[in-house]
Amino acid sequence: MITLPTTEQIILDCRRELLDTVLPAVSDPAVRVTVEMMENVLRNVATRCAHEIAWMAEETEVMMAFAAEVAEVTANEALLRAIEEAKLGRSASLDLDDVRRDYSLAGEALSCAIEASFEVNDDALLRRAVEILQERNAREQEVKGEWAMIGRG
Amino acid sequence: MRDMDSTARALGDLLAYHEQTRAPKVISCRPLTGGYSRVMTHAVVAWPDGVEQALVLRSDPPPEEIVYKTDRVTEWNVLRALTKAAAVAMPPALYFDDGSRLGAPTIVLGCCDGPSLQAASMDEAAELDSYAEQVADTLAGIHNVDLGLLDGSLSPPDDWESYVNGLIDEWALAERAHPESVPVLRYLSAWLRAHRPEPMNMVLVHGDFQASNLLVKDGLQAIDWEFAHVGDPREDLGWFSLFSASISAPNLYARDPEGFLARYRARTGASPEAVNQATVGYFSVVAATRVYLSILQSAAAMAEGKAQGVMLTYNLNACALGNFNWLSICQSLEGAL
Repeated sequence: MITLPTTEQIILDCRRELLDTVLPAVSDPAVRVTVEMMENVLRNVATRCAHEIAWMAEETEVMMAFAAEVAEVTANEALLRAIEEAKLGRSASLDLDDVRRDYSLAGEALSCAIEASFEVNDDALLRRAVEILQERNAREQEVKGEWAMIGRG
Repeated sequence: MRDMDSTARALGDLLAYHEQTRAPKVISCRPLTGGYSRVMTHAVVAWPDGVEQALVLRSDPPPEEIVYKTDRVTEWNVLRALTKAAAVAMPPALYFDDGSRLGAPTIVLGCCDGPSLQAASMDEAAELDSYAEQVADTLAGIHNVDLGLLDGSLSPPDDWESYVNGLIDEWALAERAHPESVPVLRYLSAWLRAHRPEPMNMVLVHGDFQASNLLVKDGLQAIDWEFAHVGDPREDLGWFSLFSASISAPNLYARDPEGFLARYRARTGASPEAVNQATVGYFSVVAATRVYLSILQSAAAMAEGKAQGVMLTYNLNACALGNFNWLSICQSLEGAL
């Protein structure tokens, strides 16, 4: 398959075309807002497609490790079930859909681990949970990039 | 692009139905930008005596493009009751169409031609302290509305405890119903439950109280009441503080939060134990439930092929921003609640 230019580069070039060619020709204010939103979404998508498989795979490992750590301390039933489901559902495939499904199952295990940590009020576990969520949030911010409410105000 | 000619004809029909022999003539119709949830139209009509009047039409978008699922009938009933009682400074609610004429449920309001507070406060000459005071006063005015004046348009919750618990639980319930996991929501739900502040009396809550929903004209006029409900007054305070921190305009809350809250308390009788920076921070998370979960549900609908529109994917950025902000807020409030 053709891999260059990369998907990210192609999307960013479409974005450039939208800004340089399409937007100046649009006079309807409502349509201009739509085009500006499309520009923003294309930036989001470009960042996502460049990194999301690697990011999800990395985070899946971290979430599962934390879930196992909390399960050892709390023996929480819902958490043990979520870990089991994540293990059973795990795919070796790198197809985006499969990686996304693994990520979501690991996310459920993390959620159950967070709730179990609150139940036992374990400060150290909760601090670690927050760190993991902060890392996840940081990547969401990277995908978001600069964002203001276009057309609002 | 929207067909403004057919909107003008349908508006003419609606006005003829309500006003009969003295129906005005529709002179112009144009799309209004700036609203994220509803389709907005600006219209000018001429009454038989020659007086021209500007109107604003607030309609539901096509079903597959709805990001925020709210009910126009409920909003109309609230706006009508508030207009009748002259209880709050806002553009008057004038007519309602169930969609039979305008193609979608539509509220017709009087037009307030002032700029939004967000736009006005970006003016170099803006008197920001005065605006901040007006915001506190406007909010106090909404929260002081006698619930009896709402003519039963909103159902009050049974009690504060079950109401706030319900809001908190919504985070986790919605996350479980969502087709992908969002662990930060489960964290927020558990954290909010573990740190509840003291209760307050239930009041009329605007539900989307932010600078772009306040128009500067003879003081401040509150618009966009689609999320109005009876709830905890700190929901509006929290949402205003959060929103003010998320836009590029000057933050009218953060420039002097103590002064802002003292003024609000003086006008509502709220205690410093109930209304303070920590409880406002807490409710900045609680209050986001409705808006955030609407976006999440729309994202799920899109993933299932049941929704479309760039507004929807664009708004996912607001969820990312929310995830970041709310976790930060919870961390900053550890020890204060």
